[in-house]
Amino acid sequence: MIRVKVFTPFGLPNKKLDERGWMELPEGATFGKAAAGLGMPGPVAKICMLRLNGEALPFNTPLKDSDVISCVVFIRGG
Amino acid sequence: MVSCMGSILEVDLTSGEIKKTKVPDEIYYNVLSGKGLGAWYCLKNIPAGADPLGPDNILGITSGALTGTGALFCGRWTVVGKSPLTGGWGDSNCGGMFAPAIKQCGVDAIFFRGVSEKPVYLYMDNRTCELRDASAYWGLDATEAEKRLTEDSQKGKKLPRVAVIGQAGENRSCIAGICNDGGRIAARSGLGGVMGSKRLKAVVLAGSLPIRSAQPERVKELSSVMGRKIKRMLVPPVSGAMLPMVGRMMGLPVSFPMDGAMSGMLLKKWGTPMNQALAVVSGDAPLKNWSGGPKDVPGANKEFNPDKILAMETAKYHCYSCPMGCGGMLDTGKVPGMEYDETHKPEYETMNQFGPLLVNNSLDSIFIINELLNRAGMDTISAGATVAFAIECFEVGILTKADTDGLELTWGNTQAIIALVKKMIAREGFGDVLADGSRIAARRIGKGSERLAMQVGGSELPAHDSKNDGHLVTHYAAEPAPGKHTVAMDLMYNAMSLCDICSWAPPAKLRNKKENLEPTETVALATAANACYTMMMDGAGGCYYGEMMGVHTFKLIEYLNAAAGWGRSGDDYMEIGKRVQTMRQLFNVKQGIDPASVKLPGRALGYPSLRSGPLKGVKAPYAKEQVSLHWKVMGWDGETGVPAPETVEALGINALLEMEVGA
Repeated sequence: MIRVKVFTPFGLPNKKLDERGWMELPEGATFGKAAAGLGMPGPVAKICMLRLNGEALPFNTPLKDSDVISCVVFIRGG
Repeated sequence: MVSCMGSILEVDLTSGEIKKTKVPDEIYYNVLSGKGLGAWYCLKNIPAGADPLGPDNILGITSGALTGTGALFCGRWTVVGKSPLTGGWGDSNCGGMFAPAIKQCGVDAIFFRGVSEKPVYLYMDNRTCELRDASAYWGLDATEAEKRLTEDSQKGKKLPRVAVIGQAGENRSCIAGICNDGGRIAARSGLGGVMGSKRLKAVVLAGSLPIRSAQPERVKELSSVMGRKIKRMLVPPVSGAMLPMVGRMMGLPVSFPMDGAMSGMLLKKWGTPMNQALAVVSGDAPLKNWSGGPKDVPGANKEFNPDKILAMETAKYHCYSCPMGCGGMLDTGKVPGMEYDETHKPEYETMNQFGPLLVNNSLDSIFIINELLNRAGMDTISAGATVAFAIECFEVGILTKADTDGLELTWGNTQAIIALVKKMIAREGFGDVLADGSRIAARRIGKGSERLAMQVGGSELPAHDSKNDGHLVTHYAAEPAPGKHTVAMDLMYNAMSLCDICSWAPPAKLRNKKENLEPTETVALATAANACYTMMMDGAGGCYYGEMMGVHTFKLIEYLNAAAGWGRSGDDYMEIGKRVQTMRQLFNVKQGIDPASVKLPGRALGYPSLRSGPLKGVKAPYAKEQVSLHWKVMGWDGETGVPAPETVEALGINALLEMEVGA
């Protein structure tokens, strides 16, 4: 198994995630499979601008342990 | 620590004695370098009751434990000492290219004590280290002085790096900073005034010694992964004019965890000015001296559209080891009334403090003021807040034109604001009343004006409203150098995922922002964790924008272990942060600061509450309790804020204070 860190849109709770936002997946799982598992199949994931390690990668990209899945957010600061 | 040089330079400006001394390795192991090293040295060596502008104060200029190792986002140097603004701990850090130059001269920090008889500057390279006459540079603004010192000191191809004060520092202003790279400034805490009081115009560094790390290949690998990630980040197709719409969403009363790495793409494109367009409508930006809502600053979003600034940008620039590059140079040749052809891209803090905080709707005036203050070496946060204070005093009748040298100090009077800034820099007329910040100005003016000074513990509040970000209710008051947004905030905590490196840091959750204004253990654990992590970051010489990208992008723990050859855990490092934070608090106690007396002004807590905008009616009624819980988590007394003896002992601080530097 591998573990990936997930930031859901607006931090919405998801039963697939543990308390710290980690999701367990089988070895070889893809970005798309993880997104679908989170309830965000391809079109929804695109609308949410889902990213893998900050990049807009193809959904067939295989995941590695400690990868980060997140959606585009705007962060203030300065 | 392999990545540190293991020595400091001690300079006595009274006697002219200079000595390079070794620092015990235990010090680095326990506090890292940078702010931690500075806190240890100043706590140990600045006597209780020292006059901040007198010979007993010590001014430290420090580099970071990761600076120069190849670690990204680690090009910040930190200035430390007793603040003339607060009377307690002072520090400030700055980017540019100066930080590695300290280590390339073979030391991790330079500490100045005493007062020179005549203006001097320190010159240092691989072989030379001497105080030189600075009479020819005294009186020049920081940018001009830096240019001339660079030209006059350069021997070969190696470009000397210069940290220098402008007129504000020379005039011993309590809101003066120290400048480098023609417009960057370690602005906060008034330590430029300390430098001026010592008649030290500049520090010129031209060394070229190598900086090592224990596992250079691992450092390189970490930087390669991070650099690739940032390079590939693309900004979604959003224009500056659309940002206020996003800001309205951010103004919703929800707070949630997010991937901080996403902050990089916005800063890459616009730099920090992008926040202005978000902040007015989101409730982040204090408006009209913290008394107004968005309706009180009509037209601000249009005027401060960051695309306007982008259109003037002639070049982007990066600080040392930064892969993002949020800095930029602007062509200001066509700006009416501007004396200079270019200025650095103003930071968000400068824009808001001299824009919506003053109901000033002139972007052009921001460029003018930005350049004036960068050259003078005066903190734009404190200066802007002090001008806001003066305007409101005028508006309510505490001040009249007879007091202000004839200036009509009304909200949004752009020309009067510019004129007043010039007076503050020169300490001329009414400007002299304001040149040391709003708390001292209020004491000089009297007539009940104190209530209009938006400061905490003497330090002016920056451009982030604590009612919008409840963690700031704690940090602004509990931070040993109060009134700083850079130590931590809820937004930062949401973005960093500290729970993934620290066993006691609670995970960020989707919640109502009002929960951050409640005195709960969860909030206290989060504020304490964030503050401790930032101390570690400062010890490394790290940038807050790297920090904000989160522990999964900026791998500080892995970097430190690789650079030092250690195998320490996140919890170990968080203890370093707690140790440094506790030393800074002990410094305040030693200097007679009563932490419990450091309180936010009413407006920062919603008293009176705002009548419009996203923060309408929002109050923070439990500020005292929030701060108290934070102190308890830190192991400090919940009533007094004084670090508990058992905490001091457990952190080994007494043993560290007994250690001496050796020749």
